[in-house]
Amino acid sequence: MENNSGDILSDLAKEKLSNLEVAYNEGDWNRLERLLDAKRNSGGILSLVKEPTALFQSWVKNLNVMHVYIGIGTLVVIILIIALTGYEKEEVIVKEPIKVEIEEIEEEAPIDYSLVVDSTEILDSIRVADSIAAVEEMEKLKRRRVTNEKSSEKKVSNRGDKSDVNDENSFTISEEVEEEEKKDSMDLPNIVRETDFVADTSEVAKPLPIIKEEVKQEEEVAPSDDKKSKRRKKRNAVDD
Amino acid sequence: MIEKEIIAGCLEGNRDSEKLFYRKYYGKMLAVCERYAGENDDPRSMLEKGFLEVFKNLRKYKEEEGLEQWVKKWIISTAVRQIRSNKNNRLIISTVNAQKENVSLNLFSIRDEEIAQKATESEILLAIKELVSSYRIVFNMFVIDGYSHASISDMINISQETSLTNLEKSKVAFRNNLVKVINKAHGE
Repeated sequence: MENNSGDILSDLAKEKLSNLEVAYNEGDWNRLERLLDAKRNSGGILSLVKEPTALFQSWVKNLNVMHVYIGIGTLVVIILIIALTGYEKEEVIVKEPIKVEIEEIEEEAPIDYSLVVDSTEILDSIRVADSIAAVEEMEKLKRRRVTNEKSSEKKVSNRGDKSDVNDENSFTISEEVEEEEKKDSMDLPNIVRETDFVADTSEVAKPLPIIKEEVKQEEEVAPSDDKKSKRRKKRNAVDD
Repeated sequence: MIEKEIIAGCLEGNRDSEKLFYRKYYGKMLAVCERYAGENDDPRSMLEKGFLEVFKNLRKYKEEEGLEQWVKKWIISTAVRQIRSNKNNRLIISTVNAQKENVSLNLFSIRDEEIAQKATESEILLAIKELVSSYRIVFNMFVIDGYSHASISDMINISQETSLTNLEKSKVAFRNNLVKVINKAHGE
């Protein structure tokens, strides 16, 4: 059988070429040396730049007593410089903020803690103030109503004869009074309409009957004044 | 000087140690570069770049690998990279294949044993140099340097199947090239 697969020749090539060597040429080394120098100068070959550990090891190997003294001396000097400069800096940093804080505190007015009141007390005082204001407004309203009623009664009494003719006018007057009352009620502060106030009206509304009584008394007083004036008129007429 | 001392000297950047190292492996590594280099490649340039890589990565060397094999690995990988980056190799492929197809028709009439008896080192080297770059690389790595297909695929980034087929084709092409070279040399 012929074997033309190339295996025999492959084995032959391996046998002949695997241990082949070429004679040394110094020129090739010179070229490589130049390349190595160029790479070292540019830092291209990292392995050719010594690692820190290798540098330290070689330094320890070449270490002598003089180097030790120089190293210790420089260390002492560096520590002294750091200690001195660091201490001064600390003083500056610590002092300045303290001064500022003290000045700020002195500038602030002293707080009188006797004036400090609970929030509930403040709210209660506001409610009381509001209720008082509402009562005053209510009183004003009532007084206006009374005065309006009086004025309307007077107007009606003055126009007594003409009432049959001008019923419509009398009606318009009462309407005007009502409108004024509405306006007055509209002018009332919002606080009066709020439910908070309504809740407190039980206490506030108590004075209202007193106002009515006063008004009645005034009404009662008013006729007595008229009687007195009538009596005076009668006396004057008798004297005459 | 012991191998360890030479390596330590090279790591420290000692020029004498580097020269000793270079001189020790120069002959063998240049022969490797000659095998891998094609007609358009410069083996000495390959060797220079290979040694630069060796000095650069010398810290990674472990004694278990064996220094010669480790250096050879770096030289081969640098050579392969340079062959692939050479644009002239890519252009030549088609013409070489055409020539080989024409010649190969009459070559199987000669027995391998006859060729082996006649072939010299220089003729074998010439036959390898005339291989297409992809065939040449795989033939050199598998047949002469003894790498497996797995390690070839790792080193030059090709699949193991490609490595296998390239090897089979390269063996046939090498045989044809060798017959042709021998015939030229003997004037047949």
